[in-house]
Amino acid sequence: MSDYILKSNHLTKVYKMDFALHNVNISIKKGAIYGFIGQNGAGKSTFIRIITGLASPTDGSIELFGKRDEQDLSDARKRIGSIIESPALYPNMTARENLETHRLLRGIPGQACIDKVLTLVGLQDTGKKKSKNFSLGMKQRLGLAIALLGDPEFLILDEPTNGLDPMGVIEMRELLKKLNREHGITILISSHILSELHLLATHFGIIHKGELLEQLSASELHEKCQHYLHIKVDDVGKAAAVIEGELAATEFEVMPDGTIKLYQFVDTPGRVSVALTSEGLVIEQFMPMGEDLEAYFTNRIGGERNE
Amino acid sequence: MNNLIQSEWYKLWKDRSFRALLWMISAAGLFWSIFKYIDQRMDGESPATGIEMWISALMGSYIMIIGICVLAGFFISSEYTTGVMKSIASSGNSRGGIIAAKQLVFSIGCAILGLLFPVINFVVATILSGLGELPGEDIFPYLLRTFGLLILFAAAFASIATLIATLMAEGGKTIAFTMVFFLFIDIFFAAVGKYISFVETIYHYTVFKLMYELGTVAPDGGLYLRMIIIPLITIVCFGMISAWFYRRKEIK
Repeated sequence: MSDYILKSNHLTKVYKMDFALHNVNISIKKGAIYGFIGQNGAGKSTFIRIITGLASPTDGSIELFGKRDEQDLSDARKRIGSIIESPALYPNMTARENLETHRLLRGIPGQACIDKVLTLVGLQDTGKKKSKNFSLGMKQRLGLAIALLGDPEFLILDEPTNGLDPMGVIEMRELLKKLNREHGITILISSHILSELHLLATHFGIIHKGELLEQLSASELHEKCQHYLHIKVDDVGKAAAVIEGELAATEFEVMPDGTIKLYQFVDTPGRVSVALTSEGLVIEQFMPMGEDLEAYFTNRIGGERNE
Repeated sequence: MNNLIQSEWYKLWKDRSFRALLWMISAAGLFWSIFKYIDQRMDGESPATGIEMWISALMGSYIMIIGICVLAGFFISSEYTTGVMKSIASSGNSRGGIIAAKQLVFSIGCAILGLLFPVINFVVATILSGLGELPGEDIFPYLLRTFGLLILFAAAFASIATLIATLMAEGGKTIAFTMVFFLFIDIFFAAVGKYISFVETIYHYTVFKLMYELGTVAPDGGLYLRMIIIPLITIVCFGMISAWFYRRKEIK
């Protein structure tokens, strides 16, 4: 039995001569929370749509639960729950009726599963309220409840925190962590809120212009997000000389704004402050800093931003 | 497949447009037969009997056509607009099974809508004026045959509407296009058939033309056979084309 829930092999999708995906090789291990990062139009949704069977690849293949051929893939998709782009709801149905439709569709016996997922997402008391009258957050939670019907082993969530208020975002994060930890559900999640992904994901995939730039684990990301000491003193030239001479540091930068980024001594900042003050320098700013996922991502895609 | 049919069936009965159409067509059938009875009595004519009302309702099945168009828009195409089709298509069920279940339940819905007006007309007129007589054929075999044929024709029209709804993937467009298509297809065939006799011949072998023959009393063997085979061919052909398109469709 493969350790991987999903593998894509040279997955390529072409729309009118443009590559929406180009040779994308993604591997998602069982039990992982895989954060899928990319700008609008980077190819995240195209990738998710191919995985869920809504679109077919121009080239390459996917492997779900170790299954590759079309019929097996179709069966494997029964083990997936998904929210793709936005929660798909019947607006004139209540939460329970929406779930009943999907329960029947998936052939899940008994209605106990409906109460279970409604309680899990906190929508057990919505009664006869139609889903069209739900807030965006409630719609997202109902979408998640639908995705959770039938106890899926793999959850695919495309922007699940869209429209949620700060408390809703936290609740969603905790719920996903709980599902991953207690139910062993593997999760593929794409989100624009990178700080949120940073707190949640165990693995990351960065996609840009249809190409997968990098896959890394949370610990690898932590290592790669270089930490440094941010230093501002009254005499930057003298400070640079102290750092280079007295501390024998080689990894530092003098920035145009007169600050210094020192990539060494991050764990022993006291040595640096002592060295600087003993030379009569006045320290104006002195703090450890580092890149977060957002900065790392921006650097990785070459600093491009959405217009 | 059974789970797909159950799901579609559940959605059909929860569909507000379907329920609204049921109420509206029922009301139309009820008022039409009562007003016609009152009108004929006031004019000193003998009121239409149950069987006469049944035949007249069969001849003008535009109510069924309008019902099919509206239902195609709300029941099929709106699932693309709301995004529910993404959930359905990614559920792990085969695309062929999904569209077959949808077409089957949609056809049943259309048949119910198609039967409602003639049945109410028949029942009300029979209560008010009696069953009546049918020259040349026994009433009950005639009723049974036309009842069955109406279901068959409703399913044939539903199969065409399913294809259009699948291609359009938007409720409003589907309703508008199917209405224009079904209401003007006769005019199209008549206009083109004037110049190209082949087209006119084709028209005679379509459900659009045969629809007007539904109420024919004691049809000859050829017409009867055509009224069975042509709707069946239409259902199979359009069903296969819909399935072909749906299997290849990228669902957005």
